[in-house]
Amino acid sequence: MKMRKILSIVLILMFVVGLLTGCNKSDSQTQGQNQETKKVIGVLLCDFSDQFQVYMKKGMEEAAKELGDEFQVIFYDAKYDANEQLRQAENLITQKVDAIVLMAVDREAAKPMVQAIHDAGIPLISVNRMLANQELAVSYVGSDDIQAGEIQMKALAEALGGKGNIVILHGSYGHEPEIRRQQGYMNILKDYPDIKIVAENTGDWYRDKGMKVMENWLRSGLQIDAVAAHNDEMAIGAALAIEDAGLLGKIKVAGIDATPEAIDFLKKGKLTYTVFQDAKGQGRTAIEVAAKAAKGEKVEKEYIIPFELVTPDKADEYLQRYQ
Amino acid sequence: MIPESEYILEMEGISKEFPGVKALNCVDFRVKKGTVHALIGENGAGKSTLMKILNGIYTPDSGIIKFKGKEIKLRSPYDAIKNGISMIHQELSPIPNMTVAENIFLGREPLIGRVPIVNDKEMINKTRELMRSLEINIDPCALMRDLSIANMQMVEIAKAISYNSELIIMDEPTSAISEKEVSHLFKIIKNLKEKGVSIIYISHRLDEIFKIADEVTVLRDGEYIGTESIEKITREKLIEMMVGREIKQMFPKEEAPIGEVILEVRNLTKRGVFYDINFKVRRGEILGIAGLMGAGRTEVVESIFGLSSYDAGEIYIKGKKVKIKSPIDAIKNKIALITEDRKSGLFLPLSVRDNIIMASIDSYIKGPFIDGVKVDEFCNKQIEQLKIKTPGLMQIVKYLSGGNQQKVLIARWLLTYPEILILDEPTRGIDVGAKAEIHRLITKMAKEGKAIIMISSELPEILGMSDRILVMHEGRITGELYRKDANQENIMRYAMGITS
Amino acid sequence: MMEKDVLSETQKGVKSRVKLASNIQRYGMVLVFFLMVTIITILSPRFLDPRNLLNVVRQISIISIVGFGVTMVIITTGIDLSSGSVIALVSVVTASLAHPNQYPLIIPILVGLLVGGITGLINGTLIAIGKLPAFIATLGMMITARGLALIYSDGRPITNFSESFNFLGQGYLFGVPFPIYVLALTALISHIILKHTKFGKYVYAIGGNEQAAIISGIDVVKYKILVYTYAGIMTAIAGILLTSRLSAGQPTAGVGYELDAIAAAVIGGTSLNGGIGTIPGTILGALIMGTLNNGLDLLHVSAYWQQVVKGFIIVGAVLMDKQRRI
Repeated sequence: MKMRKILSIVLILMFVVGLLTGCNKSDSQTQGQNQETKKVIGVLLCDFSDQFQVYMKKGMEEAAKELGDEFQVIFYDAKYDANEQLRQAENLITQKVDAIVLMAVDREAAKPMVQAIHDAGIPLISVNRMLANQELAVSYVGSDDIQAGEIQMKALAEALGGKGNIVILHGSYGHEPEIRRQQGYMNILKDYPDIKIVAENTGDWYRDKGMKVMENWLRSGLQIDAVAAHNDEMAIGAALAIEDAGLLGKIKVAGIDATPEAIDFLKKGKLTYTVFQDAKGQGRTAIEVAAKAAKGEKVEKEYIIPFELVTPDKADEYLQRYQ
Repeated sequence: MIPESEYILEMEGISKEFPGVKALNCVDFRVKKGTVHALIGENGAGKSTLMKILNGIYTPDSGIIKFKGKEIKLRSPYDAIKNGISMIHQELSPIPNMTVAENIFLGREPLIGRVPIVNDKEMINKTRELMRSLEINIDPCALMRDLSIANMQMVEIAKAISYNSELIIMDEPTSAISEKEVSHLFKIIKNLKEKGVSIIYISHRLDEIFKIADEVTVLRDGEYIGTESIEKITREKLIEMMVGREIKQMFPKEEAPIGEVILEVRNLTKRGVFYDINFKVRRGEILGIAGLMGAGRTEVVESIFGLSSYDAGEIYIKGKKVKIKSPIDAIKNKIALITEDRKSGLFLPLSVRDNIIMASIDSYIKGPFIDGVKVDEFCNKQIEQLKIKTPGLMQIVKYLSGGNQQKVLIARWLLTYPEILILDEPTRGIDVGAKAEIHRLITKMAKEGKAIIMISSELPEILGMSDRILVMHEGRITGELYRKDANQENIMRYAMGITS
Repeated sequence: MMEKDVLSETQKGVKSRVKLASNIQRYGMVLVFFLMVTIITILSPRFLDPRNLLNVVRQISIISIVGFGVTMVIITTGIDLSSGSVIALVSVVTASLAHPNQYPLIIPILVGLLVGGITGLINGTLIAIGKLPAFIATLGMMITARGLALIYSDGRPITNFSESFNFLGQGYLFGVPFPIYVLALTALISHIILKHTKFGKYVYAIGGNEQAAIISGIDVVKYKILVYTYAGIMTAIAGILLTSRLSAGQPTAGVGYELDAIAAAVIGGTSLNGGIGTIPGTILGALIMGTLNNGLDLLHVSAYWQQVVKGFIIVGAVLMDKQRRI
């Protein structure tokens, strides 16, 4: 009985503290709005725990700091749930924010949300992922995933001398970048009839799942010359499996995203290529464009941050960009 | 040759086997139209299995069922009801958060026109009508969970009757109700009989069978033993048929030397449940607690055992005041409680062995482990002494018969070496043979110097076993009787609250 | 005398039949497993390559170790949804202490176990004393622990480990991957605890009938807390292995592992109604899932179809097992 009492008191205390801190935050928000001078930019991201988005968010935060007191930037995490993102967008609309930066979980599912933001007269900047109804947004900041796939596959194909067996580690099936990066692969592979895809499976963007799939392929006796992975995490997983099987250097591995860890693997010769998508650059530009739009200034329809191929000799250069 | 039309039900050559057990072996069973046919046998004799086949719950491995002269196949209880066979189960299965009316009309709710919306009004009215015709005083809108167990049983009976079946199976309908409700039930049965309804009546209480049945069929160990007319058979002969041997004495009561007071309860009160309970129990003494359902007997012993709290009063053990807040304290004070409902005390998915050792594990610990050899030794000794019928120590308790399950429970508590043993309805739903064995055990434990408290709703049991009898009525002790003064009449008077 | 002899004769018969029946019950899933292995071997002889077999066992080691704790939890009629997130939390905390020349190896391991144990302790306390449904309490922990992992690591993976720490997940001892030794040891300990100690008996008792356990004088609150704590520690061991294996402490690690662990336990015969379940069964459940994954990849089954096949086989296997039991 006594234990129970103490426990409930602790729980209640935690609850109250949570409420108080939560209240404080909303207070400052409303204050900001009341002062009228402070403009609010709402940022809707897919998932804060995604490596790429972590760096994109970093870029956004830096840009926000430079904008100074005039602007307030609020971040929302949809945890890869399109419905959750819709709910967050509706909240921003009711708050009448001055601009919204959106990384859509799903192009198609985002349509009504984009329409609603447009109807509310809030300037919308899509980042990283082009929208299905992009014409309703004032601007797009990002890169083209098809291009990423093309750059990666082109490099692999040339490294193989236009001939050999490759395996493909897909991202989660049906995700926007999975579809577009694969599209990029196919665009290149048309021109290389001697490169054969001998196996493909999904690693769901995760390192452990990519590793398991690769281990099984290695055991199945396939003759594999190269691994093309839709992101770096899975490429690292594949590299670990290859290392464990004692085949390091015999199989080329390429990823996309150029995360610091992937660049490190590149330096150690465990990865062959990765493709740099300037996460910070995208985030930074998105916030700058959103700030302009919020002030009513004119912005371009598109800001394309190009992909760049990262080879081992350029590793340090790219690592610098994260500092 | 008897013309076919005389029988409403003919079951021929029914066999059913479960993994490891031949439950029924080529059993024949015939019921005449408009009669009450008792089906008896020791637990594990196959009565329940036979009835579950008749109710469509099990399919027989072989044999045929003819109903009203026509062969029928029963694949589910729904099939049975469609054919005009309904059943009152021994284990109640109410849905506690639904009303009495909803429980009765479950699965056949009256609808408003063709729209799938339940017509509550009609359902309640029909229920009220049903209750009135059966003279049962229960509100159709009451929630099932608020009813007493006896009233739940009456609802269950009403439900079975409401199907207007031609054959009603009653499996131990009186095990949870008191004398008053029993006579009410018998009135209902007589009315049904007059309307031409046939009834299969399963009970362990021979008195009831002689009072109500026309014919009786005996099963033993899954075999058909015989069918007799009630008028032409004696109690002794029936018992002999059931157990395959003669039972000389139902209540092997032996006088044990009565020693000092072990347990004393002073002014124990739990508001709304029981008040001012005072009593003492001595070494070697069997204290019977009698009373009608809902008199508060179970609640008193549960409070003594620390299963539920009480508001006032004191408990003394060997003259020392003790605080019992949980069963852990009770066991430390050498109290054991064998609960009213077997199922709430057993670990059904576990083995006989695990069930037996669970309250006394500390005695077999060697280092960090349980000493398996010692456990087996202790368990085997208990199985031998209590004559528990089981294929082995590892048998899952779920598959034992009720009597053997009860013995497993007793074995568990004996291994805690209690000085005070509380038994709540120790022989409910147990066949005659096992009953006598349990009575013998109780006597033996008293002789070993344990103090025994036994709650029972069966007057012959209370009278046959107790040295002293407390009678409770509506939460209070209304009478205390010594063995030599007690008889059915004075116990019933106290139990009904008639004090003058 | 005659009668007695007949009785003992039938009892003997009953005895042997019960034994057979229970053996079929116990080994039903083993048959399913061997059937699967046979089919895969016929289609791809490489499956039986010893290196591939070691590969399969190493792949299932993490889920199995989580599964040992989860099995005990489910036997008490509980559930633990927090395992995946606790793996992530343990992963980042352990990783941050495992850099080269930082601390001796024992420190990251002990701290990792402590973190896992504490999450389990909190789960158990909420369930046993707070009387929360296990589903809700562990769901809360699932969300909270993931959040804490992200906070602790700032959302980024933590890398660069000492040689000795890398050995835990990546090393070999006598040609056998080290995680397999950990798997064997945790399996043995869990099995002995469950079958031969008071704690184990009480776990079954609580799941078999909680009311009866209370009446029998079992301190249900204490043992429930202990069960969840044990599950937390098992999860921590899995988390440490995974961290070493992936060369990174990741806040995103272990997503969905809780369901895989529950599936392994249930496929292995643990009853969600409580009171029934074994450690060897859970290993078998994990083996069935792991073999399936491995086999389908070996056979180059299209990835879309793999999911359909996996769903069918998992449900089908349990269905077959249930049929046998009736």
